[in-house]
Amino acid sequence: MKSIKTLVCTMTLAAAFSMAIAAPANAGPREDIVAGFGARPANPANGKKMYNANYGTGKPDTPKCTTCHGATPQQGGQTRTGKAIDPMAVSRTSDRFTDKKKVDKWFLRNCKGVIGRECTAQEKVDFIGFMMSQ
Amino acid sequence: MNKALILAASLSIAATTAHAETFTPISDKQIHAACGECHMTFFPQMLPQATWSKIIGDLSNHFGEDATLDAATQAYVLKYHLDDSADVKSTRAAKKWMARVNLANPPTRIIDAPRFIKKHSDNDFTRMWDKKGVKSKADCIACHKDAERGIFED
Repeated sequence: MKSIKTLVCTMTLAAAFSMAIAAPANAGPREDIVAGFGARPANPANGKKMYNANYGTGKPDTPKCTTCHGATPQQGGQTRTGKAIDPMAVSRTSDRFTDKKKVDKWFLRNCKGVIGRECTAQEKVDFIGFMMSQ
Repeated sequence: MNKALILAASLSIAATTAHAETFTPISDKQIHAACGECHMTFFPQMLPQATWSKIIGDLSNHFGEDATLDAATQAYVLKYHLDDSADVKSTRAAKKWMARVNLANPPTRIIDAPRFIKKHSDNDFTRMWDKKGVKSKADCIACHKDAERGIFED
């Protein structure tokens, strides 16, 4: 009897463990969006560098991400028209990067506005990776 | 009970906005997604069709922003505004915003509309503007707290 219990317990653990391994690739809409970019795993440090970089190669009034998004990802910011922007940090704004249409729209618009070109898939993944760590 | 409440509520709104016109708040989710992520969703009845056609017809240079939308969304936003423009509606607000508008030379934006200019030209406005450090004339809510509900009492 005891051995059966042990066996069941071991099997349950094994199942849970294999699910845990399989989970990250398919854990939710945000992970799906990241996977969809088809880039290497995120390098959050590069995402951090992007967020703080003073590009100055896009529109003159938006040289950096932080011009509108606030000094830190936890802070939140303001559009040029004075409208509040929720913090970029996933810990603060739980639905960040979960709507594919919105993610594509804003990477396109803001990479052009700040950097002066579209962001690469790798840059997007790094950026999201940084915000997920915040 | 409910009817009495609604009546009382409407009466109190009518009483507090005796001079300022009101607009029906915008509840359309597509409009909020397309326009409202950057600025307050402005009321179509503030401008004539000619102005909305021009503004929404070219979003690649939207007052200095590239606000390009996909074609289907752009068409939806345009129709939404044209169906409710100041020159096709006969509400009190639409009439007020059409007063002194020259359709041969229509305003290019809300802040150029005669109604906006008339309501924001005195010294009090300039004082309030400086005091509150308002970032943009598009930020109605900075002073009109209930602007999104269509109420522009100060």
